[in-house]
Amino acid sequence: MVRVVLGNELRALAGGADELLLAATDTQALLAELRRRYPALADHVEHQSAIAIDGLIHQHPFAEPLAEHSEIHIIPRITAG
Amino acid sequence: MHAFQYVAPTSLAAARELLKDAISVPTRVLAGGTDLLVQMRAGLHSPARLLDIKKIPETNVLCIEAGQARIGAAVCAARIGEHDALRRLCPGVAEAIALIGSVQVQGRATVVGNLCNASPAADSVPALMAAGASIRVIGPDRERWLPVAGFAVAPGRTLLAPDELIVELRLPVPDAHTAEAYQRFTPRAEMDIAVVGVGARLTLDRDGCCRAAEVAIGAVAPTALPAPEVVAAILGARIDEAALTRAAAAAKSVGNPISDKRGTADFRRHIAGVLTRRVLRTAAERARQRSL
Amino acid sequence: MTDDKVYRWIGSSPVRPDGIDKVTGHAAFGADRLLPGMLHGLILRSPHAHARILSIDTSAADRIPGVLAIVTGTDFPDVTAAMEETGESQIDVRDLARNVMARDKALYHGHAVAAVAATTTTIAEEALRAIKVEYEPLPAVLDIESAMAEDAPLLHEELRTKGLAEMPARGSNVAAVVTYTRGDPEAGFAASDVVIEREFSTPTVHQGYIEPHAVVAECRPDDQATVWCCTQGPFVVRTLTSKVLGWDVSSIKVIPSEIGGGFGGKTTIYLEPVAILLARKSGRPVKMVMSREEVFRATGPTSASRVRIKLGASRAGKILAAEAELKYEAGAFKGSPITPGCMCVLVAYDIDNFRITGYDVLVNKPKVAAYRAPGAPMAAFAMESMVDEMAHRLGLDPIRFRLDNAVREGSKAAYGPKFPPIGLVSCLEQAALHPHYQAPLGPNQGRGVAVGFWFNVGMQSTATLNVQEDGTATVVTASPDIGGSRASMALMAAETLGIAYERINAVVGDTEMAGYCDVTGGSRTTFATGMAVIQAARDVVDQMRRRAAKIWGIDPDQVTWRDGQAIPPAEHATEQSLPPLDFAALAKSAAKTGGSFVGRASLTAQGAGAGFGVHLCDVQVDPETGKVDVVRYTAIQDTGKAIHRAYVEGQMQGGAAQGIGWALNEAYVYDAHGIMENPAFLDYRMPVALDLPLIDTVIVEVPNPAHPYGVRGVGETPIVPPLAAVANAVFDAVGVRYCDLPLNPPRVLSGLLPAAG
Repeated sequence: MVRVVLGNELRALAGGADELLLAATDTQALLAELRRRYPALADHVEHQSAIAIDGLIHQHPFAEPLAEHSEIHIIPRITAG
Repeated sequence: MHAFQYVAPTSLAAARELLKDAISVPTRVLAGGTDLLVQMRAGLHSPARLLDIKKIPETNVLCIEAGQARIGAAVCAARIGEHDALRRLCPGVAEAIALIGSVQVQGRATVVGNLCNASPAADSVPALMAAGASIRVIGPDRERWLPVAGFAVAPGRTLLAPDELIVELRLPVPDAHTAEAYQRFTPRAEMDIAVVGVGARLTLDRDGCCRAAEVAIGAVAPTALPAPEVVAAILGARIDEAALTRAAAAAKSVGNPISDKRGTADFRRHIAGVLTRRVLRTAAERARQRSL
Repeated sequence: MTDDKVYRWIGSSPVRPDGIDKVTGHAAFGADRLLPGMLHGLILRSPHAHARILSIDTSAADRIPGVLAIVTGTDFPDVTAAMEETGESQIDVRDLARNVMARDKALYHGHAVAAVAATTTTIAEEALRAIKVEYEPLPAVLDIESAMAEDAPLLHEELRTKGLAEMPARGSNVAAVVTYTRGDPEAGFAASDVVIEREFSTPTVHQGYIEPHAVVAECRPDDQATVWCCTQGPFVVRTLTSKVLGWDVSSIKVIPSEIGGGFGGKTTIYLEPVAILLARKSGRPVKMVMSREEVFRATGPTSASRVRIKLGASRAGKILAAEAELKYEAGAFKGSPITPGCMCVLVAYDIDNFRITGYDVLVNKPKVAAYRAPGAPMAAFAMESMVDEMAHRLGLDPIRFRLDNAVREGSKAAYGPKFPPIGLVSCLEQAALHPHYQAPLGPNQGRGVAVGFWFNVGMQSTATLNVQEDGTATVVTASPDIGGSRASMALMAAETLGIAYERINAVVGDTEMAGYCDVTGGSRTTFATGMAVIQAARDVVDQMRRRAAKIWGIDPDQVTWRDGQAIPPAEHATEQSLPPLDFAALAKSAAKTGGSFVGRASLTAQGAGAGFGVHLCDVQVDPETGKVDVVRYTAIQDTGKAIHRAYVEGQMQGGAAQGIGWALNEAYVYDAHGIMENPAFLDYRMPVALDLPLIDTVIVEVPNPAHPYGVRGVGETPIVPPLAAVANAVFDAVGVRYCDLPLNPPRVLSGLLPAAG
């Protein structure tokens, strides 16, 4: 199970939870699982977010592999200067 | 930019000929062009003719003779900066001219152009006023000499008639007891407009007392101003801290500075005092050195 | 921690492939393009900061001989779709379209309201004067306070604040509120021995790229357009222009010119759709080049800001709580860099309790554009000033205090995730040991320290590597070369292929000749496009190994690649005397052995490595005039592996120079009507060379594990620390804590002699 840690700004999209434990081996599966359980959060992730997997930021993740106990953070996409 | 005619006479006589119809064919004189061309591009001037004076021998004179420094109207600032005797004898004028524009601009910009642009903040003007400089002006069929002091009458306006041009500028070379200095204040090291500029020339007697002085301050009024009140504060006195403090106080009351994007009136007055103190200290030190 | 791998090419500083073009003046920039029959386009701009456009009458202008096209807002499609994916991120295309050309309202002084194309610029100028626009001037909001006031005039009546618990019923100039919290800030402050709080402000500043925006557009009768322009990203220009025009991306070809600086300001569009429409209407190519005044009034800048920070710490020097409130001006349309500002403000420190609140505030000023580490410098100015003050209050050395609170590998970033390997501690240690930090100071001199951070990004990049029959190779990408990236690409290709740097040419392609690349920005090019180049080079190596195996009649797996040569396994080398085949030999025989070699790679680069930097600044303050001179400056930064050392140093020096300008003299000066009074470099005072000392650099190389050679990204971090480094140095020199930039002479003097300012 991977652990998705939600900042306060995203908790409303996940029924108030601050952390989600999900079964997923890559980010594509993770997104599908989010879409099944929290569609609004999935929309947010798909269109506006980057994902940090164990600290490494993936600006546009597609099917990035996840480890057994990966810690996932959903953060805003950073634009270029 | 609009279309215009360009002429480049090779003699004063030919230039005079062209000045004859300078009123019917609105003419601007082109030397370095570092102000004029920029202003034309900005749409501030749209002359029908540009009269380039750079090919006239008399406007390219740069020498010291008969106790006078002669600077032709087409002589660029960089040439003046490379003239050792002028730099040594007239350091105030030379350092003022060296501050015009930037290293690159100095290769084109002229002192006389700086004068004709008639900016209240022109760097060369307070130094030239303090040095007692004058200019040779010619028209189609006349010629006159004018002092630099009073030549600019308002921002962008001078005593020059539309059918006149300046041939050269002359200033008396200081004697062995006289020295000069110029400083300006800008936030940047170059490519900047003086918030205040102060030029001074002073003569010390054997005891180190001020026998004669001229001080002029730029950017505190629509034109650079002579500062007799500053002179009065030091005349006959030793140039010590007390005299400098009196002079600085007097400088703060010169002119009627404005508040604008380059500084508030109060800031300008304060800086006029600070620079006056620094410039007089430097000029006095130079005079002492020269007398040794 | 540094990288101790030995490289043949990486880390050297060779001459750049485009060097000859640049120094001989042959390089063609945006305005250098000339086409037969080309017209000159100019834009009519709003004289009001806020006005309803009642009517636009172009009939008189249309009648002027030589005027061949005029466009106004109604010539553009009415874009209704709001947020669209543009490759990089979501942008509001409707806002973008209305920034390119105003419709019902002009929202800032300089906002485009019409454009003309004529045979000469003089005629075009005349035509602009002949266009009659009827305005109803509206009250303008020109700063954060008045924009956020209860009864403020609204820029967009329909705008509702995002990020609140409930969608508000009323309109607002606040486009969004963002918050980040952790722990219990109140308890943290209660437990603190020292609590300090201050508010800071920074003015609107411009990127100040030396090359104004320039474009030439050509439009065929079948609506196929070609655009030459100076941009940080030709594909982004294509995407955005197509959205604004409602065209397919494939109907627009964008050819990037050489670029004279961008700093983020050329990641968006202003002229391109206008030039295309003028070209289409006139049937002639149209060139549009902005004046410097237009660049100041209608492009760029970055946000003016107000940032309030409250900081609590224990006497022992541990930061226990922080509260930060950031308000950034977005300009006339939503989208200031408030989010990255909030993510960055506390990012350098490990703090258990904090609350960060950010406001995206609309004002009647030009829409802000990205500017080098967007949003971070203003946040760091406030935070690093407060950290300095806290160290001072606690009697601690400012570097020691930062070391005691610094984030390191495994620390939780303020924006959520744990940090992978980062170099902040290394940079602080290097700073403390640097001779600069130990050097004695003279009278009226002071020393400041500040930390900076930027995320750096990955995004999409594509590279092709064409091997030529003479044994050279050409690297093609669509990443415009702003800071020497051609040289960096060639270095990475040389290292990977094992051939000499001089045998590689790197070129910048257009949107038809090269694969997709996102902008040169976000400090991503050496990281992400570099990664694509390395993969393309590996692709060539792979092809060459296979080809050698075919020539030798052995299994490809038996062939190794070393030092630019395909090497057979040992038994073949001795028994059958097969000499190794080198890159040049394989390239030369390619036509006879199966065709030439072309390597390619396309990727979305993940795992961009965060960049931390520490700057040391010495100033001398003239106590009589308030003038601040930077007399010594050292920039220390974890860049990851430095590919081209001289250009890495150049980025660090350039960023520091820009930040020093922001600290000391740069500012938009507005009059009461919202008209910028200093739209020229004469009075918008960026530092000139004589204003700055030689900026010393220390490159710290903590490798980024996500990049084959350990690259992080360099360009943005160095503009983050200088604002506070300068202000902290001024404090050290004169004992006055200045909270409002710029620290120009009148401001500094007013703190020294309150009567004189």
